Amino acid sequence: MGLFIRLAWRNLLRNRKRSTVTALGITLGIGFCITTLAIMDGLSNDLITGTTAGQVGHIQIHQKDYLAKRQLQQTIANNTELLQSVRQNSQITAAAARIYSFGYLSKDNKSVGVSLFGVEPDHEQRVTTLAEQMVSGTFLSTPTPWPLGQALNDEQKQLDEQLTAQAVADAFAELDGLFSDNSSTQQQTNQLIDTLAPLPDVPPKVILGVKLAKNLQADEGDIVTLLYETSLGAQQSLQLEVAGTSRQGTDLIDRTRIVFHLQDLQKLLQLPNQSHEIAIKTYDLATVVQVSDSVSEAISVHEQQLSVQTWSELRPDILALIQSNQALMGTLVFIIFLIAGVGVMNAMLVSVMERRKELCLLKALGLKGNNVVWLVTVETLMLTLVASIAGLIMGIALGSYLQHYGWDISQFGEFSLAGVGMTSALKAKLTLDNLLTPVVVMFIIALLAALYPALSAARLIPAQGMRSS
Amino acid sequence: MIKLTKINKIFADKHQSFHCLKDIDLTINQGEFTVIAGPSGSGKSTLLNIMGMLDKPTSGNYQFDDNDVAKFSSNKLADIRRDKIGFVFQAYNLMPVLTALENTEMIMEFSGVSKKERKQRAIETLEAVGLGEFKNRFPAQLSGGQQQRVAVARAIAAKPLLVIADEPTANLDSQSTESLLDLMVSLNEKLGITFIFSSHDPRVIERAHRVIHLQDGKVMRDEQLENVTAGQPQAAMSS
Ligand SMILES: Nc1ncnc2c1ncn2[C@@H]1O[C@H](COP(=O)(O)OP(=O)(O)O)[C@@H](O)[C@H]1O
Ligand SMILES: [Mg+2]
Repeated sequence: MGLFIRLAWRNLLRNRKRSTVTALGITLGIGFCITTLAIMDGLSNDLITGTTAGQVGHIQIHQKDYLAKRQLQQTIANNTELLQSVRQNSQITAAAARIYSFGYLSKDNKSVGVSLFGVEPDHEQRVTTLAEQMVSGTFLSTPTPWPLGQALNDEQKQLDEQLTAQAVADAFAELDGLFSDNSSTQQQTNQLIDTLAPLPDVPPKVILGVKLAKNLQADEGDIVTLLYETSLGAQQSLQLEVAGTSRQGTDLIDRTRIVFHLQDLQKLLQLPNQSHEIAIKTYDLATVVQVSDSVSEAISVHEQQLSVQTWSELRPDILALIQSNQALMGTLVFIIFLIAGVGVMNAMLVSVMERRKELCLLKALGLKGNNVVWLVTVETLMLTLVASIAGLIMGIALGSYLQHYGWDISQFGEFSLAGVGMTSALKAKLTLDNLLTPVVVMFIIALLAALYPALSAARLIPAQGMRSS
Repeated sequence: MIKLTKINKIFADKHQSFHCLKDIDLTINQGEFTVIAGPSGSGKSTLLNIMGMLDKPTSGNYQFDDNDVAKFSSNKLADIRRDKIGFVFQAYNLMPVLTALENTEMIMEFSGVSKKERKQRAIETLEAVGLGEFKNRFPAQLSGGQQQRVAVARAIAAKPLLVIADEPTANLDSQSTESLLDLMVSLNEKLGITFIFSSHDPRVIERAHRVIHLQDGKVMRDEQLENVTAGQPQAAMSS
């Protein structure tokens, strides 16, 4: 064995140029494969993190069918109790309830359609990065003090019936084209609603999407007016104070979103102790399916029609994107290896043909065929080993550069992939897998490439090489 | 030791065939110092290759130490070459990437002789062929004669029964030829190693005990010579 290593090593050195070129092929192959794999993993990682940390979380709970219809009334009931049973799961880092609705937001003479998003600030920031996306102002913290609603007394109930009848009559009158002054009816109705569901004394604080704020020319501290519909169908308007603006990554959200404290939105929409969505973060994304199952089981005691879904069930488009991305990169890597493999095979074939006489001499002196196979293989392996180390170094250098500084893709503009806002620097992700896979595959390919030259060397007839000078 | 019966060798390819050896009958005994003589193209190398088990005859029987060589597997043949036969070829004798010492050690390394022992034996042998001080040189740094001596050293360091040398002096000047011959004769006499070599050089032929004249693939003459130096102690080994 010592002799083989010596022979192999000196043969490689003897043909320094050829060895260097072949090794360079292997080195570049491995280096680029590592980098490619790292970028691929970084992209997948960015997509998954962007999806989960941006909005989706790892797991979500909804009322069955909520995602298909998104009706205001399709809520999770007993929100607090349900959250409690979810948070007992030791594999969960955080769980945050949310409410969604729609409305119109106006300031001065501008009016924009907005989506309302109610969150539990302290829990939400442990599930998603919402709180970190502030452009100006401060994130929400405590709910607005809200006067308690009172049940109607008998007198008021009677008035309510009268008003309802009056409203019906007015509506018919309007259909007949008759004008009727209903302003006093309206005023009385509002008074009743105020008793039932009073509005707060101070405007609730909200966060506006950065583009929404720009469109309305609303700055931190400004008052804006929201027109909305409660879950009971009443139209209402309310003044809100802009506490800050945030950039959440996608254009649509930044143009339309307005973030509330969950409790404010519950009161506003008259959805006490209800939510539309519970987003959950687990300790380990790899175990998300098991955690999802145990969450399903834990909440089944509440006897509601709920569905528990993982991020990949919620965003199958992202999963498909990652998979097609991996297939593409895999093809690229395969081609790189194929080229390197052909290079190795060629180099070894030439080397064996050049050394025909030497190999015949070794056989004449008693080296067996399988040892000749070994000799050629050891030479290939040594070349691959040296080149692999260089390739590893190159891959680690390139990969960790891209891991730290990222690949600046902002030159292509701010963009989102499948609705996931991508950070402008694409960061690679080096893993042990990314480092070892190309090396192992390269060794296998080099061995296969050495096989044919080695076998043809082993088949040499010793006398053939010894003939003539 | 070697018994050839009706050995024929025909080289054939698609276009032509060439009857190189014709019905060779030959017996070579242990301890002989035999030269195969004959003009170029007469089949000397082919005959030596067959005797050295580097090539197979087209027909005929080859007994080596009373064993039928045709029955040996290629691995068995490799083992016999390694353990019992030393080769000195006309050219391409040495591995260019190994030093004189490493070349000399090589066969012993194949057969698994311990590092210490093979190194010691190789150095002794190199000293015996007068190359002790050149042991760390690569073949390219040695003259043709020195290279052939390394080849002889390698052939005998593994202590073979038989040394086959194909025109070992063809590329050497007369002084190198003489000293190489002295060396081989003394090895034959001191260690009893059987030598078979081919040559058409009269200086070589006159040192042999037996000369087999080959022509057109046939044995023309097989003569036992009364050698001048035979039986007398030689200086080469003891110096
Ligand atoms: N492998 C071979 N294929 C074809 N012809 C060969 C081969 N080896 C030897 N010969 C032919 O056989 C004849 C004898 O060759 P060789 O044994 O080398 O003679 P010598 O060593 O006496 O010069 C030559 O004519 C040579 O061309
Ligand atoms: Mg010849």
